[in-house]
Amino acid sequence: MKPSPAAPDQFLQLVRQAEPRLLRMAQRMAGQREIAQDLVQEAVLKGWEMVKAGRLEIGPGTESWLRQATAHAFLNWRRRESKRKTDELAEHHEPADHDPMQQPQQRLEHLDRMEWLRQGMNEISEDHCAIIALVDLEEMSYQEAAAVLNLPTGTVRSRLSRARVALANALLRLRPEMDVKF
Amino acid sequence: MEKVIKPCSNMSAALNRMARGEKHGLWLAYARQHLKGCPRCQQAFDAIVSLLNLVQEARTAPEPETLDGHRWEAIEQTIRRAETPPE
Repeated sequence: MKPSPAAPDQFLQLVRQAEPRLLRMAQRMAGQREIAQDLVQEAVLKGWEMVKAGRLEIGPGTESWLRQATAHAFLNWRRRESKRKTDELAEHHEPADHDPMQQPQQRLEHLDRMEWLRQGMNEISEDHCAIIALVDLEEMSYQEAAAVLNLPTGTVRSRLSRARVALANALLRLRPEMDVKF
Repeated sequence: MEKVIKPCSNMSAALNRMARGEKHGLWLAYARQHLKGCPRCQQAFDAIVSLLNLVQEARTAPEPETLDGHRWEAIEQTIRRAETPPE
């Protein structure tokens, strides 16, 4: 079924409303502004493709669909990143857009911890990264995460437990001087 | 020496639930008791709590509120193109 003539405006309006939430989700998962912007743009365009194809109705469920599409875009990006991981990784790990000398101490410490977390996320497997991104960072319910990852809810729970241990170990490997109460 | 977090295999789920602040259930009493005598699980519990705090910090980080202008332009262009669908 073709979208109605009003569909573009309706869809754009809905995207405008959902935009901050989608960006927040993408930023939490990817930890990088530009990547977050890419993910949301990709999800929105995919959503429109679905509307055009008559497979997505514009309405109350659209934002939820866009959230899932953003999560999928993140997972795909993460897979591509894992494959591409080589020695150029170091330059990707540079915290972007910040001049450390101009940041107050607290902000610096925060950025440093966030960078540490991002590096840790890069160290663990895609499956573990995905589950932490969705449940811990994005605060999806186990059911929502299960739907995105196409897994049984019980698997989400058990994988999350293992993923947290894996991430804690990765963080401690990256900074061996840290105590377990970091 | 490298620190390695490795809780007892039957405790992993319970430690995670405790770390998230769940307070009810028989398993909790058992887990608390277990922790008293198991340094490995105590260490894992401390690490998971720390990790959740770090994640919480990430959730409160400043975030962008809008898509960049050029991205909106690209989106609008793509969507408006559909207003004149092919025959």
